[in-house]
Amino acid sequence: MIPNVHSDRRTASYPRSAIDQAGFHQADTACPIAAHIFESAYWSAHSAVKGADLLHAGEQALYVLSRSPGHHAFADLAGGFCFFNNTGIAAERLLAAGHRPAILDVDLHHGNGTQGIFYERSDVLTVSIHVDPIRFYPFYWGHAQERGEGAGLGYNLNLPLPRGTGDDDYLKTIKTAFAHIRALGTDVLVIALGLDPFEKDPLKGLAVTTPGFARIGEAIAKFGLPTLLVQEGGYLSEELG
Amino acid sequence: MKAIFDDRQWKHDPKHFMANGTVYPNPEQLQRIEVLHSGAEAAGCSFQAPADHGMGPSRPCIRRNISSFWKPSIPTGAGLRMR
Repeated sequence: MIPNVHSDRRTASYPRSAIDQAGFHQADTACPIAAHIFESAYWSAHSAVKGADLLHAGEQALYVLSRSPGHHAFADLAGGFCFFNNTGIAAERLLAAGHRPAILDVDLHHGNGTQGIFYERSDVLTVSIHVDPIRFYPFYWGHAQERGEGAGLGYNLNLPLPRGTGDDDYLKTIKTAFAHIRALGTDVLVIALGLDPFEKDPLKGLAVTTPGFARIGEAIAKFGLPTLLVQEGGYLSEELG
Repeated sequence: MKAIFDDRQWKHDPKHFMANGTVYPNPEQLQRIEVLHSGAEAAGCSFQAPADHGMGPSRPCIRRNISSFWKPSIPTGAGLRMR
């Protein structure tokens, strides 16, 4: 199903025809709706919920293989292969359990859906490190000046990087993210774990090496917060498998 | 490290997407599960499956009845409504 009509804003009226509901709920043509999408996205989200529950129960680090991924999904808008926002759902679960979660998105692309869900809120901090979207998906979100609105002002931090950024500059940037996360009183960390900053990822946006990923992992471990690693992007290459 | 995955995540298998006016093979392929799952196990992860909590945990991140055109069937416990 590929809709050919889209509403320009969320306050627009809601149609009854399926194709035009799809137009309302799809940001782009990279979120194909097929027969089993609901079931896969549902269990992908539930995997993140289970991870959040285990983190709350005392685990220090967990990995959630969420697929379909989630960080381009807004509350009512799919996009970029994402349907339910898995990290957002995990953060809500942790918030309800009494935590103060932050979501750190290290995918190659800005986590626009996550930003959108929490943009006017101060109870879930959202931070994203990604390729500068001025000429890169998702284009309309992810710029440094997007800091949150209303109660959420200051609770969204975007750290866009030039295309081709490698290990050292990436590591410097993640330290900036950590300083912000620490300063705002976070007690649990949800990582939107894209592996596509990898230098040999087919999308070729950043140039993080395998040793660079090890350094990122060490930096996350050294940061010391209970951490939920939720899979986002990262596409097939000879090195990934 | 504990890890979470549910086998029903295999079911979504779109073949194509569109960009720049062209149809391409979908890079979000099933084989990613195979690679990520085996990579995680090789790194010492031990997988378990989640329980079904219905739509409750997802509801704070869902604003419209986005399932109305996605779902051929909603799993047990689900019941999305507009809010």
